[in-house]
Amino acid sequence: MKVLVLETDKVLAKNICNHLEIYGHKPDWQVDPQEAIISVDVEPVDLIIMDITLAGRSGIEFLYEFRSYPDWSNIPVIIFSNIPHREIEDCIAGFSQINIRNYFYKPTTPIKELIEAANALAPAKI
Amino acid sequence: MRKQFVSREAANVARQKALLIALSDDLTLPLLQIRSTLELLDTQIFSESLVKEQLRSMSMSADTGLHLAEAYRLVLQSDKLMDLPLEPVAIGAILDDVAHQLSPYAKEYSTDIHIDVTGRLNPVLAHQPSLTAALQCLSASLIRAQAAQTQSNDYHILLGAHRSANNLVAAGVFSNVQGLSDRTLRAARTLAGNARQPLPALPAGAASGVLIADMLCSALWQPLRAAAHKNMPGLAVGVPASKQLQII
Repeated sequence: MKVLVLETDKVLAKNICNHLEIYGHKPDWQVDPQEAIISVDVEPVDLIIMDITLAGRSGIEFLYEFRSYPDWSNIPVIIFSNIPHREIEDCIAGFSQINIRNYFYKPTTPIKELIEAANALAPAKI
Repeated sequence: MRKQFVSREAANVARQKALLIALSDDLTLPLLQIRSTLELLDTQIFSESLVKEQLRSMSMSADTGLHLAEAYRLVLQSDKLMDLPLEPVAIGAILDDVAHQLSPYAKEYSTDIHIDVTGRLNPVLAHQPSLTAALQCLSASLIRAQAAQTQSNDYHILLGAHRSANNLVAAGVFSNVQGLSDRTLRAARTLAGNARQPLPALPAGAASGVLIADMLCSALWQPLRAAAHKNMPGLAVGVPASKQLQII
């Protein structure tokens, strides 16, 4: 499964990508949302794992733009973020509109749990 | 009189709270880096050289967190900083020291650190550990911020100093990080503690270094300001040159 990893920190992104490779996925790491859109345009992805606090642009803004392209409206998204659930409670209802399947809080989520969620989404797309 | 004192105390508590929130956000990153690397080492058997590389990476993450905590401790003492012994310090030596300490960390983020001291600068009058900590925090933040804005294998950071107006020496960190200006800094000072990203151009894990450096510089000399050195934009602080040594 081709996975777009949109994460601003190089070390963390490298570790997520290494984990994904171990489980047989093909990760594509991007830091810039605009570059991510160009990259997906060149080579489609099956899943997106992303943070929502990006540099210069919110990840949610990126997702609204991403979902505006009909081809990409059903690609599942897993959020892996530093923002705790209690701070985004008001937004959770809107997450389903942009097809966010899981929301993981970085400090309490081991990478393994993130990869398990990605694996769970894999069969539907392959 | 008492009202003024209470309001000053309240402002101080709010400032410390804001800083603590920013710090806790930014300390999360090195801890996450260490934890995810440990998880990776636990998942697969790696060659000895790869294990060593991962250990080095974890050690750097730990160092970054510790530097940030140390700088935070200095900010907590900032009301007493004026009582600390000021000494004439060669700004070039401080920049060399910071570059030396940060070079492995910069390498991890594919960044080359350059030093440029323009002209023969007089020593500045400073509390050396505070000036070093401020420049170190600022540099580490900008290294991370630069790598978070665009993907490249060739980033550059310039640690520079030049003579400025009013017998000041401007020392700072210059890079291609977008979105840092006096205006964004002023907004960040107001937003610190209330907004998730007080500096919207910087990602999670990079803002508190700038805020800590700003608070340290404000307590000792003057706040950070946007500046340019050798056509590179960045953030700098004006440090007074040592007048005693000028006479000599």
